[in-house]
Amino acid sequence: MLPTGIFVEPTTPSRSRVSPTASPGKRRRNERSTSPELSRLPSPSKRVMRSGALTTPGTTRIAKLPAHYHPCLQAQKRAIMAALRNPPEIDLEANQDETPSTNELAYEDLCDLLTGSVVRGEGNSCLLIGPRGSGKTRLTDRALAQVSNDVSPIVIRLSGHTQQNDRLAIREIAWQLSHQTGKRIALGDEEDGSNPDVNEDEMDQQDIASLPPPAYLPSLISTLPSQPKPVVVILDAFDEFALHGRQALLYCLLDTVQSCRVGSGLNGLAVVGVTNRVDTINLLEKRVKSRFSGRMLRTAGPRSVQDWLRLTRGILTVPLGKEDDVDGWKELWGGSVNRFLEERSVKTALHETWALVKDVSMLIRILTTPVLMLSPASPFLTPASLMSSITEQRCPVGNSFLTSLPYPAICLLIASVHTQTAGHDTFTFEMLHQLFRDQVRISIAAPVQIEGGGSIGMAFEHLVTVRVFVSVGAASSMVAKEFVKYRSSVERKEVKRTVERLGTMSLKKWLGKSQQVHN
Amino acid sequence: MILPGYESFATLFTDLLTTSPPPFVYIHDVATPHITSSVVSSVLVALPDKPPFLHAIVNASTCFTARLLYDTVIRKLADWTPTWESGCQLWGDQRWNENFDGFIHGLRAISVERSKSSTAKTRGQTTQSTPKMAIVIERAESLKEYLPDLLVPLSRLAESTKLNLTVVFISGYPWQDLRPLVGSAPDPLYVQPPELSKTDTIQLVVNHFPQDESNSHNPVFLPLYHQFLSTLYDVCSPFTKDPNELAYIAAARWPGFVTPILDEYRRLLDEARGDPGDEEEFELTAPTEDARIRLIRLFTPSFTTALEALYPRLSNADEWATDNKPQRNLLSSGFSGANIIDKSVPQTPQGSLTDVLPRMSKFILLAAFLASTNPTKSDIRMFGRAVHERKKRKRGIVASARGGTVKIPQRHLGPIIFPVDRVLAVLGILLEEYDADSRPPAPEYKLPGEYSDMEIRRVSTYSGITELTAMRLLRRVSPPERLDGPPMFKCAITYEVALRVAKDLGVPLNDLIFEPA
Amino acid sequence: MTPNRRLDDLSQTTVYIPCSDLDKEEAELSYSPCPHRDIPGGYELRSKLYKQVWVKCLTQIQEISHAIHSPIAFDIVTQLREAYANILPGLPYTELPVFAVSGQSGDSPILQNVVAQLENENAEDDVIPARVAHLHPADCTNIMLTMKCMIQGFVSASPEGSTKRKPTTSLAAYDIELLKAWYAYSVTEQGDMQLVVLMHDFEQFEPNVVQDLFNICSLYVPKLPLIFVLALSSPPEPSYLHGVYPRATLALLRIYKITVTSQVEVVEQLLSKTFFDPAFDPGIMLGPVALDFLHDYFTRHDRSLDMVTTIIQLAFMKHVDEPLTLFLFDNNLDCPNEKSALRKLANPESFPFLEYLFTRVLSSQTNQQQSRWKSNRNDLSSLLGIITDCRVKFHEQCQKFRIGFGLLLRVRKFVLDLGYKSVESEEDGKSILDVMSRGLRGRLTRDWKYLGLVIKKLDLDQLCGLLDTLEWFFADLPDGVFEGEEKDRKWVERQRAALLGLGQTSNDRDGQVLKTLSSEVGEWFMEYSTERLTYRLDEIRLWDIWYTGSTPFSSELINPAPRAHITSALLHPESCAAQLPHREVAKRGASESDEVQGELPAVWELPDTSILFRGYLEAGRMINVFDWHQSFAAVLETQRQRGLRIEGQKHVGSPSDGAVHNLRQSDDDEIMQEDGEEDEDERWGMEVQARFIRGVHELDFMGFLKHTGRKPDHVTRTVFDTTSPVATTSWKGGEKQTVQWIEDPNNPTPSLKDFGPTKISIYVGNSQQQTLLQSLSPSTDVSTISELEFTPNVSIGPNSNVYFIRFESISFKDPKQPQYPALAFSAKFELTGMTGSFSPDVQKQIDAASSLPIGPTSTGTGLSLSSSHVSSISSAPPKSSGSPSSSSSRPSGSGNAQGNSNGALGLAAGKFLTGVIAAAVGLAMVSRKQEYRS
Repeated sequence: MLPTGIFVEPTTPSRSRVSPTASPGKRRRNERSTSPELSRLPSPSKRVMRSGALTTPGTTRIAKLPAHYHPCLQAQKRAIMAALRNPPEIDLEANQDETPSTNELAYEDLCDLLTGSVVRGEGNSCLLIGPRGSGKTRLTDRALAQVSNDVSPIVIRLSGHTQQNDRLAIREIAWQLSHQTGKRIALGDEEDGSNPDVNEDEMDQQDIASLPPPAYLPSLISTLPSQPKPVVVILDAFDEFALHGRQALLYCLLDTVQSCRVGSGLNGLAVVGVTNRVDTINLLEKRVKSRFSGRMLRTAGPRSVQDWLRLTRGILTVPLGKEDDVDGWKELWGGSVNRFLEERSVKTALHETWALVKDVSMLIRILTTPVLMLSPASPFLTPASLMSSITEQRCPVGNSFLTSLPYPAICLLIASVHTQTAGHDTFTFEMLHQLFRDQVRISIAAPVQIEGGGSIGMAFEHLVTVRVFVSVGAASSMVAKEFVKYRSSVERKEVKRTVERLGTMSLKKWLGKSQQVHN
Repeated sequence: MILPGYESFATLFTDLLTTSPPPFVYIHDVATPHITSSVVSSVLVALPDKPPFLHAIVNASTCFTARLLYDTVIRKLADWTPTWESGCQLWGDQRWNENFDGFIHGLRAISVERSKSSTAKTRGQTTQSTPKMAIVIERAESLKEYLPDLLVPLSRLAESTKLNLTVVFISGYPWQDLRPLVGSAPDPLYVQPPELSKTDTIQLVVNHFPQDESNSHNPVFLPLYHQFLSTLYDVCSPFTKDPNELAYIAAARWPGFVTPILDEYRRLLDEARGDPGDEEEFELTAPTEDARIRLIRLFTPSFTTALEALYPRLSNADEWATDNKPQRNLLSSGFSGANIIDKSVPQTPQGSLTDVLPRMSKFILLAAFLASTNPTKSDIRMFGRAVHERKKRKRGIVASARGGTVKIPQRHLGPIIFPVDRVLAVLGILLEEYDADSRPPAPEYKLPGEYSDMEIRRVSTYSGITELTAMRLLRRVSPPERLDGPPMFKCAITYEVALRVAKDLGVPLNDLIFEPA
Repeated sequence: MTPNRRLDDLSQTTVYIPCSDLDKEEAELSYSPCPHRDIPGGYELRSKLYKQVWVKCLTQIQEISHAIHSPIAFDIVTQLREAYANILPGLPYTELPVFAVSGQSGDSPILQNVVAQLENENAEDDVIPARVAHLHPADCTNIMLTMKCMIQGFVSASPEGSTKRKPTTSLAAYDIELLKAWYAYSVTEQGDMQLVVLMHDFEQFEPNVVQDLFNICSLYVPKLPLIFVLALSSPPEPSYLHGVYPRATLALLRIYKITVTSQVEVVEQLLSKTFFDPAFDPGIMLGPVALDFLHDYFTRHDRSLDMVTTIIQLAFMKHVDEPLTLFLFDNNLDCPNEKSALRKLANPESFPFLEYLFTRVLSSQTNQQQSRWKSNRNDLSSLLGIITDCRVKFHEQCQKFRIGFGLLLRVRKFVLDLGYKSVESEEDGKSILDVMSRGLRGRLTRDWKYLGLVIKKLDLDQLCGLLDTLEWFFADLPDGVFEGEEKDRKWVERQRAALLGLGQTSNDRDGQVLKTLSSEVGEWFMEYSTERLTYRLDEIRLWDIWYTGSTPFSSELINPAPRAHITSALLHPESCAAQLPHREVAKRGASESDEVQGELPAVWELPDTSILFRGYLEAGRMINVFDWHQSFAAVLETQRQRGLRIEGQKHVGSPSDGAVHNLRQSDDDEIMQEDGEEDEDERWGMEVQARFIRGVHELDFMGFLKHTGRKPDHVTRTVFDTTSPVATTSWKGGEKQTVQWIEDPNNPTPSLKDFGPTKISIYVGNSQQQTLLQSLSPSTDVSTISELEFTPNVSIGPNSNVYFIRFESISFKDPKQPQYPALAFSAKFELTGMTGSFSPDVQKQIDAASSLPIGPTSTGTGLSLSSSHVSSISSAPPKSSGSPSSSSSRPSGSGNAQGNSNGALGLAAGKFLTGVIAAAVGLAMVSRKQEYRS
């Protein structure tokens, strides 16, 4: 994962101060956090005794859920899903005596900065850097909400993914301005709605003739401070903007920011760049960089496994709304979750995941499927479901489907292995077909009806469509399809495993031959 | 209705959508994407319309420009059908299809409009006014082909629109192959479609069984149809498990399969007519068990032929069904032979290459094949009539097992490109060797070989080449506008075809190929 | 260049620049192929006649082909109509119906017919009307354009044409939804319809575009009843579709392959209905030779009706070259009546014609007629009368022949249907075309004899069937001839009646009666055909007015070899020049060459370009321009010395008229002023240079030169149209070799005939004394045989390159030294793999050879063995048409150059013009095909 790779541990002074004393703090926190549950534990059992449906909550095995809990289960699911859509701020309910987390610091800084612009009319610029899933966007939103309690600024959101060049960006800025201020921004392209039919086609090739000329950029940007209300520009995927031609947009923005002075009667302007590339600052040209305030705020995901686990728990035990809470459900559910999280396998699995990717979104994705699986039949989370979903989400393209491939396709796979042993990494259909024919000739075992020829070609095409065989070089209509060069995207080992699993003797033998040649 | 085998998937997906769905879902289905997407669409249709849930199912392979994509998605979300009378007006008062921003605005506009309407309907609680949206994109792999730079924006659509929407990709490709290398695209929530069991597949196919009172598809045959299908499945499953393919083959085979029963039925009817009894006790009934067994046993070999013919679509189901009618009264006549096909005439591929092309073109084709298959250096050895004869030609390259790479014969690597002069030279020799006696006498040519030499420079030879190129039996490799240097060609016929042509002309092809098969 | 001709206009694909000076001459002298026996304006008259005849035939041909095609088209249309009607139940999805009509190039008559039938509005109302959209590969380069073309094709064509669409806020022009909306609307307007998409030249489409197209369309069936018709020019087997498109695409389609009936039958019908149908009189009867040529060309080169019609047309055109064809229809030569025609003939200008006519008529008169003729020569009217008689006679004879032939064909078909093998079945695949030509040659005897025998063997109902066919045949005859056949018709009827009687009252014991009957029929048939088919049309007097007979049909007309002709023209401009004044290229053809060989001009007599070309041939791969210029200058020097005036006619088609003019200039100057020698020389030098440059450019334009960047002042040859070299010929001892020889054109005395029987042996030695090593043949007549195969004996000597072959005439003596037999020598060649050794004195001789060179020049004989005659590869012996080799006049230094051309065929490729001309010819051919179509 490239960006997380680039991303380094947050190096704000506060963090570094914290780290040495971190471990005892954590331990303490753990005890404290777990204690209420401990205290709560007995209670469900009692109640369960009364309800009598469940022998003991200890057995989360398929126990029939009493009917009156079904709505609760549904509600719980809905709630959890909602929580997954935007996970709770675990760092907030972290105990206060600790030094606040990175995101907290970032939040405060950002709030200050924004108020600076919005209230005092300063020109501010900053860069919000953090790995994906570390809550950058939510942080900015919160900050904006916080600020706009008193004065609501004009917010212009741009995304480097959508506005792939400056002209698109200009257009979008103008659009958002006009929508928030209500007054029309005159761009050069008013009449493009009534373009004659002729240039329709050009328009279809993503033509930018209908877009404002880049020359319009400075004048538009320069109007930002003179807007009726202070303006906050949020540049998502800031690094993408840095890749635009001559970084014109960034230059203009930052220049305006720099030039807007307090008390000049103009409103403030804040430019917040959001990115997950740490080296973004280095992408900026000199003239742009010099206009950038250089203020960089960091966000970070959960700092430790404990946070990770706590987050998990927080998500899973998200409280229900009043109306659909049946008494006793909360305890029952909480208990099940506890037990689920106490499971060794679960623990290890979560640890591993944490060790691999410290990305909350991954955690979310992992949790989604098991939660969705919940049903009155199997009302509680099981480690098994978690495991399956982990494998599913963490490495989605297992070559599990290889075993379900049609027989000729397997043959072709083996043939491809043979070509590799013969020293040809790329192969054409004809080559494989020849090998196949030879094999059929020498071994009686191969099914006869395969000699129809048609099916083998079809199998080859099938393999190409499922991307087991990937064509090398651009496919051109000049090359007949049986002579297009392909390479196999499947490892020899994979093939071996597949053949083993199929357990067809003849195929095993055939594959075995290549091994002998090989070593 | 939910297709068999997909129940759990369907419920899961429903839950996913009805609760708060993740912004980006990816369904990677290797085996049967089309079925999966049909399931998804049925789920979407089945969703309760309160709270309002807008959805658009778009087949990416039809959206070859961004504008098409935008138009289609918005049209479907707003479910709006443009009419001819109104000048095919699209939804909304302004244009949304200009660029991605426009698209986003369009989406917002729709949600605003809908929430208005919904709140208007359900006055009182204006809770969750913004409707949920789902944009399902089938065959997402073709996005990579047509609109590669829309992949990331689409995957981040929820966040950039700030709407409660979900983007679902359905594709036969893994997401790793689609997403751009720069990891700016978020990871989707992967949802695995189920793997179909035999019973599921058969059930899927049975769903295609058109139950009409007409004889061949009479409901009484359903159990028989099941049995028929399971046998068919056993025959075909090593090659394809795709329910659609099975259904296709079944559709082609079934009418023939039931005809014996129908014949039997008709025979009984006639007998009934014969004696003064009323016919209506002769209901069309399912055949007896042993009759079934006999039928299956008789027809099983034809299943294989059906597979061979229909799976590569060498013939279409309709024609195949008519070509492979069984003999009349198969059951009553105690027939138990191998070939049950009524008229077992394999309709000869009339109008085949050999009898369509003029003689000269055939020679040209052959020469081209040789020029495309033999290495240039070998020409003098192969064709030079220097009288040290064929035996002297040591041909081919012995596969050197030593030292890793084995030489692949050119036949498998595809045709090599040759200049027109080379094919003409080879043609000259072929004519001299194998055509000399068949051509009309020309006293004016005295020198040996002069006649052939003349022939290959005639205009008709060149026109023959151009015609063959137009037929795509030759491919012109060099651009036609290039005048400098000889035009380059390569041969586009397979070895088998070449053999047939050679046989037709009486040319010993294998003696002329450098690396004979 | 006249201003109205805009050469810089890029929109023009071709610009025609008439050769202005030529058509000035054309203006005054009226053209005639054989002026010595023609009447003034005869040719124009005849071409008028020709037009008449041709138009008549052409219309007939077109009607026939249309009659053949329309039923096929109808089948296709009916299939199209029910493409959506009865679909196999239980299919998982509806497929896109696709009709692959193969064997259809571009605008085929059948497809036009189909479209016409689909689109005609006033079809019976039970069929669903269809809209047709045409897709052409040219404007379907990507999927967007393709969709746009298709949709617009439907939408814009419809009467409720284009609604007002705003370009941006309504459906895009390439959005199939647009088509859907339109369809929904027009269905409500006037009932449902079918949407047929006709894809022309399907092979030319980009496969991936077509894939997308099918993919999109298949998602919309059957809501949109789209039907695709693909015009494939490739044969149905192997299928182009299955070869190119993946299964994924094919699975979307329901492909119906439609193969149109093979062209062969079409042509047979066409010819038989045009020339062998009693109901139709073509005016000019096609002769067997033309017929054979047509057949051969059709099977060998081009299987298209256009080609057939073109050949017939050419045959007619050529036919009217004959002056006598003026009497094709009637005797009044384009005059109101015969009187004025007589006056026209009486006119002295047309005496040669008259003379010819007389001789022709007289030649075929009986003596007393001749005498009567001699008596009153000026009785032209009776002469014309005779012509009329001949016309009538010819026509009725022709008619009789047609009837007989028609009957023969009927019977033949009947017999073949009965399963008897045709008489000519031993040479397989004989079509009716051969029967036709044999019939015209009067060689059908075997056929009808055979058929007669078969008839005699027929049993009762077979005989009935036969008689029925016969009766129908007679019934079908047009009224004009009907009466003529009355007798036979009656006879047949009688027989049939008898037979029927026999059939009812089956009192025929052991089939005696039947036997007699059948034998009678057989007899009747034989003599019927005898009387009609044995008589040859060209036995009638003046037949060549109405019958092309056996005049040869020169393939050069439609199938020339331009490259070879260019080369030969450069080598022998005089032969072309000789042909030009009266253009009988067709008549003379290549057989010309040997006449021309007689007086070959020396090099210096040739026009500049040819001179340069000689030099060109002698050079190697790369030509040093400077040397070239030197040799050229040398030749011009001789020219100058001779101070000769080159006649104009030697120059037609050669560029150097201007040069010659200059030459004259210079000569005059030479005469005028003796003193100004040096500036005279320098002017001459400049002139030579100018002419050189000009010549080189000529060659460059013709694509003979390729400029090379590698070596300065060198150009590369593109043509190695000459023979393989002398010096590098190397043979292996003990293996079969061939030696070949031809007449040396450059000094034709003594000729091969003089040489006669000759002893051929391998020798070594010098010009004075040579030693025989191996005798190859004691006596071979070199004038009849032109090559000899032999095996060098490995023991005759060591590996060496001093061997040569000596030709020693047995009878003929050397004119210069009568005591010796005439000798001829090959150049020296190398023998390898030898085991023997030379004896010392032999070695001496060989050493002496260095001082005394050997070769054709040293011995006086004119029989030269030019290099190719000793060639170890005769893979494609490189001779341009009818042009004798020039290589004997080549300095052997050039040998090594082609030494490397000797071997690889890769370079045998080099024998052919590369690049420019090849491409150009390709183009030329395409355009030719166009004009055939038109």
